[in-house]
Amino acid sequence: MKTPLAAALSAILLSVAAMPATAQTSAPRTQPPVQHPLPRPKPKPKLSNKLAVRAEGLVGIERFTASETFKGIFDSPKGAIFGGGVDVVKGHWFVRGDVTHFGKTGQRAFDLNGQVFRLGIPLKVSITPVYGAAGFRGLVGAKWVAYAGGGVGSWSYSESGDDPADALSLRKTGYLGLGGVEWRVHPVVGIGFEAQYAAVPNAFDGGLAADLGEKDMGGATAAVRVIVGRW
Amino acid sequence: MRSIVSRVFQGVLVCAVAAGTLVASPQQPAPARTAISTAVAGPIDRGLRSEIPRRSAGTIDTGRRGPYLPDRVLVRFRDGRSRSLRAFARAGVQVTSIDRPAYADYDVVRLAPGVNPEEAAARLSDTRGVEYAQADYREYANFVPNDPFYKEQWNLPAINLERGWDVQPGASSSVIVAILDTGLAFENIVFRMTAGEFTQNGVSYPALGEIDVAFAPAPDIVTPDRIVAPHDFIWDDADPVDMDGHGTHVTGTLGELTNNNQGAAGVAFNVKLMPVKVISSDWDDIFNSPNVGSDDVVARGIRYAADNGANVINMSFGRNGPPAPVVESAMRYAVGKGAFLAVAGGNDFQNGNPTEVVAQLAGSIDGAVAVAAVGSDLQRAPYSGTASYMEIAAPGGNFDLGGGPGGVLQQTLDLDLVDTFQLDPADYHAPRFDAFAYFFFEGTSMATPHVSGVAALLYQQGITNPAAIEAALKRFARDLGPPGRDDQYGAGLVDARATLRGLGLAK
Repeated sequence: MKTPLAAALSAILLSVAAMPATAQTSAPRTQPPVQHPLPRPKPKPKLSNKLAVRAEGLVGIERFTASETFKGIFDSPKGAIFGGGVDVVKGHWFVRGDVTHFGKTGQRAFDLNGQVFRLGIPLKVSITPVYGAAGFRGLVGAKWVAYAGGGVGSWSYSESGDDPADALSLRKTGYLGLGGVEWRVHPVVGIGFEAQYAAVPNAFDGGLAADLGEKDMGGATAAVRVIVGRW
Repeated sequence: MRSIVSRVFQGVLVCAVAAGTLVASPQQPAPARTAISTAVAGPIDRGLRSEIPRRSAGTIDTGRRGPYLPDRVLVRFRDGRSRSLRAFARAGVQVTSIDRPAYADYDVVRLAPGVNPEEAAARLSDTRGVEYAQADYREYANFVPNDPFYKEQWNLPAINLERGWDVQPGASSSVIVAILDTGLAFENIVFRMTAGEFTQNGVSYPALGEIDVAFAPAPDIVTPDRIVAPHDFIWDDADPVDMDGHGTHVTGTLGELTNNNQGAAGVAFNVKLMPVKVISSDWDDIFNSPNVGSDDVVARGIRYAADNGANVINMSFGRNGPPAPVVESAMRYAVGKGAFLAVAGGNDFQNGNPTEVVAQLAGSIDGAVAVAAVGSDLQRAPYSGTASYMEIAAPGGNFDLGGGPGGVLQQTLDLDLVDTFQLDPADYHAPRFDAFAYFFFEGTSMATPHVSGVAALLYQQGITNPAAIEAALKRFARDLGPPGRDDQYGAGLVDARATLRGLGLAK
């Protein structure tokens, strides 16, 4: 539909064209009206209501709740984690299953009034949570999706050294909350930035952790996810 | 005052070395001794051994330090026959090869990469026809010294030392342990001294006059480069030779040369030794030494040891009576300089259990511990004092348990040639300090070097804070007596391995 301004401009142009061209040497001719293309409305972005299964990998840094214990054994309360899983999405909902892993070698130690002394004896620790989570997601822009959810999982823990008698393996149930944003960089590839907090209460009942009164195996994690699949 | 806290057992004869029963004559000549030779041809020629090769604490990780071998399980079928790869695949375990090595009645089953041996073994164990399946756990040597008298040393396994040595074999020469005691048989030397007359239990002993007395190093303790900064506060010189045997015995428990196919073993057998003589013996009295063991001498000895780099100070002596602020100040000074102190808890339980002043001080200082004694039955030795300041226990021996072998065995001076004043006056003669034998002693003096030795091993592990050493010794002690700390054993019996290994993250 023409706007009044466009119609007026067209009329002016037509009247100018119809005027005798006194200075013109060629035969008069008519000009076709100028056609301005109309802007096509963009489709409003929305999350697909189709069920989509996506694969994901993640890397991150976890700061363990038992921070003094981890600092004592590893000289840092933080550690790198990596993992991956499957993410099923439909509309505003998602369900995820992930497995992650933390592995590091520190030293056996003891404490005196909270100050930890390391003994130079290697101690290899690994933590492997397997968890499922579900939550809600929504668009916050054409290419951004925010999400939040919670879940439950099983945290597998093992420690070992050069003496088999020192080996320990245990599994505990934990809970987590998570949230983040995903950025679609390609129709089937996204990058996510996620924060997690996991609680695995009463997981540690021995060792340096017990001496320091830190029993929780969980922690806070900042992770980057790579997601492959439809949105 | 009991200057020396020990008892001696020699064969079937208990030699009651009663300090203070000798009364030196006040008319003796001015105290003096002169070294007239450093070349002694003593009657004992055992030779000196090369040092034990040093080994690290095992921090190198070659990828083979796991609890079990990562690529295999050991499987035996009930019929004893091997199975095919396919049979294992049916059991859900991916394997790459099956071998039956010589002298084995089981198969060594190599796992496919990524297969966890523990999980595979568990899965196979649940499989029909399998008698057992296990991961191939690594075995570690329990270091047992080859010293021939080691089998008599019940006291070392009692503190879990064999497995402690697996963690930290004998420390190294970077750790210095000072032994404040009656001295140490550590050098070849002849002193010309004057032995005056004295009375013993009312019996007069004649003056021997000016005599030449030979000293030699204890061959199972001393190597040429092992002694650092020796000092004698009794004679005010740098020759703290032992004229009693107590200091040499204590030093032996602490650091007797070990795994050398000779004699006995010691706890921290690679450390450097700093003999500091602060306790006078009967022969020091007979030779009229310028000083005797006293608070002054002990305090100066403690400061000397700390100033000269001692990391651990063994104090197998004590006294009763009023407080000793001069000693307390010296002990705090030493701890402040980074030295850990182990102090004998006292032997007078059967004599009214008086307060041992130096041990009491140790109980009040973080970085110093008072040591009680247990016998081979790991019960408190009957002489071992009980008190609120007692902090830890160690083997001190108990002759009530089988006589001599109930005591703590170490090399020391041959007491038959030392204690000649025990003979009748007619047989009394000059002593020799260049002959050695292995004797059973008992006392909290004998218990204390066990603690000092483990402290030295811990120091080698990197724990250099005296208070932390004390905390570790007590934290990992084996609880004896009533649960928790008690006045008989303190925190319990020192446990070398547990102390050296500390804690895992969750175990």
